[in-house]
Amino acid sequence: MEADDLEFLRTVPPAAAAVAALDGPIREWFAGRFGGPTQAQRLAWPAVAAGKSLLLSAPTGGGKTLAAFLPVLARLRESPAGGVRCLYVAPLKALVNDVFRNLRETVDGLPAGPEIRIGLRTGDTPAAVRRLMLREPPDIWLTTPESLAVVLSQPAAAEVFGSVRWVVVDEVHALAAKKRGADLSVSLERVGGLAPGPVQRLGLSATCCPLTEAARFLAGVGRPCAIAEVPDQVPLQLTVEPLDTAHGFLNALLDRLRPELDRNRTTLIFTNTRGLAERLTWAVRRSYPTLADRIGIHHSSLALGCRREVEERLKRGELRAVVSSTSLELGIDVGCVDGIVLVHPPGGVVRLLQRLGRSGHGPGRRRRGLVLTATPAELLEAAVTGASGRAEQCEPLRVPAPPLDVLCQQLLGMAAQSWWTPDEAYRLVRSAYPYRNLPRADFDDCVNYLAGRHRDGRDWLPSRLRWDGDRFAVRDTRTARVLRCNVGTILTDEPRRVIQTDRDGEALTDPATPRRSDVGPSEPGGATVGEVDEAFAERLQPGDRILLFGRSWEVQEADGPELRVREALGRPAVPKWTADGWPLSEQLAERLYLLRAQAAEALRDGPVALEGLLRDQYGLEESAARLLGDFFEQQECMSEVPDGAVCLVEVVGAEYYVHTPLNRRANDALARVAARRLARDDDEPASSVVADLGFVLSLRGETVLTADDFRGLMRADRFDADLAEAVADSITLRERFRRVATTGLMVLRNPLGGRRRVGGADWAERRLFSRVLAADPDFVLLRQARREVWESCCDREAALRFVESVQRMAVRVRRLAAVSPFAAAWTQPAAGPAETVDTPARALERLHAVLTGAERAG
Amino acid sequence: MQVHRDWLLTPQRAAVHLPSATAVLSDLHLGYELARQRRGEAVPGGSLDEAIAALTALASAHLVRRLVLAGDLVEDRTGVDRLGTFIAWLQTAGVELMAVVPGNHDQGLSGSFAGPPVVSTSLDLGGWLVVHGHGRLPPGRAVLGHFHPCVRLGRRVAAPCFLIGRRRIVLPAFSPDAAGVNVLKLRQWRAYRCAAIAGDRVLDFGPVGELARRVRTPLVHGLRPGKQYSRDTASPRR
Repeated sequence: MEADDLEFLRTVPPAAAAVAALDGPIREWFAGRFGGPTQAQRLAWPAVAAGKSLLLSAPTGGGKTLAAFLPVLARLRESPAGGVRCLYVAPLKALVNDVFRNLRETVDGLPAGPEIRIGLRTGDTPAAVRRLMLREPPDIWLTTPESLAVVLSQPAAAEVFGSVRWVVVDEVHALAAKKRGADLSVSLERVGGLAPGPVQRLGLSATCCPLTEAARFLAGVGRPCAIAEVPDQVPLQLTVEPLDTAHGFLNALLDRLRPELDRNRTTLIFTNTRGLAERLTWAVRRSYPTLADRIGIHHSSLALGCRREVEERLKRGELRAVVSSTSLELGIDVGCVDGIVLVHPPGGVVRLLQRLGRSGHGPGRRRRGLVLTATPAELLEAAVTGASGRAEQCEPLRVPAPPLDVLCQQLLGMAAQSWWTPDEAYRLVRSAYPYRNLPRADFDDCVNYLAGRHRDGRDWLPSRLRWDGDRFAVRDTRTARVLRCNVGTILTDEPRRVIQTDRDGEALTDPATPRRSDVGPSEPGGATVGEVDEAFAERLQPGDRILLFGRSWEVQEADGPELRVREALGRPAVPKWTADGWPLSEQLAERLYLLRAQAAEALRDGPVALEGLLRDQYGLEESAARLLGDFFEQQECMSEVPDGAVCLVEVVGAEYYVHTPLNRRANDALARVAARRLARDDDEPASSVVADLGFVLSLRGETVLTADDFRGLMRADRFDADLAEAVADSITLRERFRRVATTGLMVLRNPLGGRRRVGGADWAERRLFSRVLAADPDFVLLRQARREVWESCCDREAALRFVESVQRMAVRVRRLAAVSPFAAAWTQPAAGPAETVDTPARALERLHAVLTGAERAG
Repeated sequence: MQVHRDWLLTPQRAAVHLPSATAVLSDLHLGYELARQRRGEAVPGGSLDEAIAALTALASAHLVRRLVLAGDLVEDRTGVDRLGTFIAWLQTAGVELMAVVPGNHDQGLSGSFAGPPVVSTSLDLGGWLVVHGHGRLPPGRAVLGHFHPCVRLGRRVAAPCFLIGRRRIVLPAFSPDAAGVNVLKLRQWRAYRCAAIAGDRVLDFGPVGELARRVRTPLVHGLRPGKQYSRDTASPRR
């Protein structure tokens, strides 16, 4: 798309002009209800009324929803024709439910006119309601990307979506950078293909940059789009504060939270993991027994009913605090939160601003945030994050390369809906922005996979398609059923449901009751508490206690497909969720590395200079600055603070701590290449652990590496080839392939006739991977898995840039008696997963040798 | 590795009864991927070829005159189609199929196929009863399959293993498609000796309970039980 097709709306029209865009009765109703329009509404209404596609970026609470919907409602009232005319898509079920209720309320409040029906379709909608919605489509259809894909893969979609005029996409910034966004972008093209004329696309987004990328994602290839941005004018009040963890982290945290809980009406507490959210909720409830039932918890592994209950109570102002990991970051309206606490730095500027943006919607608006840190390293990280946040230097939004597994799923969905020639399908897919540069060869490979054809022409997989000349459709009703049960699977991890066996959980049922004319949210059964990872559930035995929803549960049955539990007293174990966590953003890693060097420089002029730097440029209190001063001095005493001119390697025993200005993903690539080169060229199997700002190579103690050796390990020459070699058979690639194969519907999350347990959950990575690799090393889903590893697990490009610059840097290897403060803080995660380059058989032999050797000794 | 005087535990996942040169193996799950295909998955075949290659390797590495299958020969009914190739292999290799002890997956095996002599529930081999293991176990000495025992350390190491008790020999699943049940996590095998297959060797790790206890602490660099080796797992900090 040419840049000319994007139009920035820079002048805010006067309120009168904006209101004039609405139809008469609605105009009066609005004036009576709200007075004047917000800035977002003034920008949006004229553009929407003029029929333009629009990306509206505004802070939460800026009246975004009405900015998009009110002109649409006005038009809907003009022509009460049948069929779905407005489609609304949001990434979270909670948000869809929220908008459903708001919209319902708005429509009910409007002056008398033709009835506007609103329908809600998510994964939780019961089958009867789904059927009803297909039979009598509502005027406004609210859904998630996954549920939209399901409906679109039925022949009835042509009628249901045959009259769509508007599409509203919420939280565009959260979708555009994800695979789910790529999925949605193709779905939207398909809706556009069914619609009678051009579809007006309206996108709502929080702050992101560049907005142009989000607008292109929204509009699709070759379509114009207007962009309106309302800056957040609520003042940002951000405090970064270290906890005094001398008497334990959790105790310090509880002490520090007390004044916050006392002062605020409602405090929202963000943790970085679901496990900590659980632990903290448990601890807060125990130390404030009087408030115990007014402390909520919200994270993505809790059952819908539990989350909904917390959301409702939060909105009604009944909760004094809610502890959340990431699930409350996105745009559901959380009511009058007046204090935000972040436990540990959030790792990215966008995430920081998103979390802080959850407060300040009430009167006397302020965005007040407190970031609590546990270590000097975290303090420094939080200082950098905070400074970047105040300057609004966000991480840029990147639409990922076209995901081929999602494309396979979409193609099968298209085939289930009607007949297509490959040319038609290719043209449609290419008009979705993430697929704008999709090579024809990639597309053909996807079709061939679905048709079961190997690249050498023979049939090697069961076909999902049938052909009529050059047109294809889904093979049979059975295949269509497979698709319906599995579409929308974009796999992250494999959870096990936790079911409460005795039903005293009245609070778990859904308080919202749907209206008759609407198709609203509802809840199948009320006894699911949430879910935990398969790997965690596997280790549980009856009698074990686990912590979920801030309560303690005793496991009754651990063998079945579900975990059956009963509420119990006593100290529970905290579940571990593998999908928890993300690396420090690339920008922040670099800024943090530079700040360290800058701070060391300042420290040479004395502690006062360092305090000044941290206070003036990073807004830290004196005590915090002192803490960091000590930390830096310790590092200088033991070793040195690396700057941009030196690559520092600290050696303790046989462990090599390498400091780099890179985040975990780039360090991952670097560590893999180094370990590979050691194993291959020096026959030295090393294991590696990666972290933000460095990695650790552990040798077995015979070899001693010098600065020159490190130059060799980090040489740019053949870096790509060695990385490819290191990744080729890695567990990372196998795991990634399992997910890609599931998204691409090669293996199914919900196979017909239920799951069989012989192969186990890891069959695809253990067995299918090897077989596919043997049959076709360049198989389309294998290629996708490889691409994802290169892009998202290990940042090849950043690593490559670094190894090129290392040639101009000094490499300094320092032998130390103990691990330096910097190495402890930044090069190794607290309990890091190590990866060795040994084969499993060799690893087992070594273990055997160690065990039997120890036996002889003991 | 030789146990109970007469039994050779081979890295080819079979136990060979030396006096009678009879290999006992279990849980072939022939047609596993066909069963997955029937459930709607688009996975390639190939396990039959692998099984044949593994059988050939077994027969060439050890003196095997006879074969006893301790159940779960096929994954389900669809796997019965695959038996022809298997029978053909027996003839080429000059191995006599003494019996198939039916397992819980073998329903419909005897009715639809005339080839292998399917016995009722067990077979006596030099004082050892070969059973599948899904029902009540006999009081005397028994060789069984069904449980798919393996030793799992982290995500990288999952080695099929034999379990040896005073009156029992539990075989690993012959099919690499079977996921394997981590014996370190199960109480019922704690007193059994564990012999794990590492490449072309069978390594004696001693009693399961002892092994489970000792690998709880990181003994070998980078090998910790129960830890995920995934790079995608984050530090607990973030």
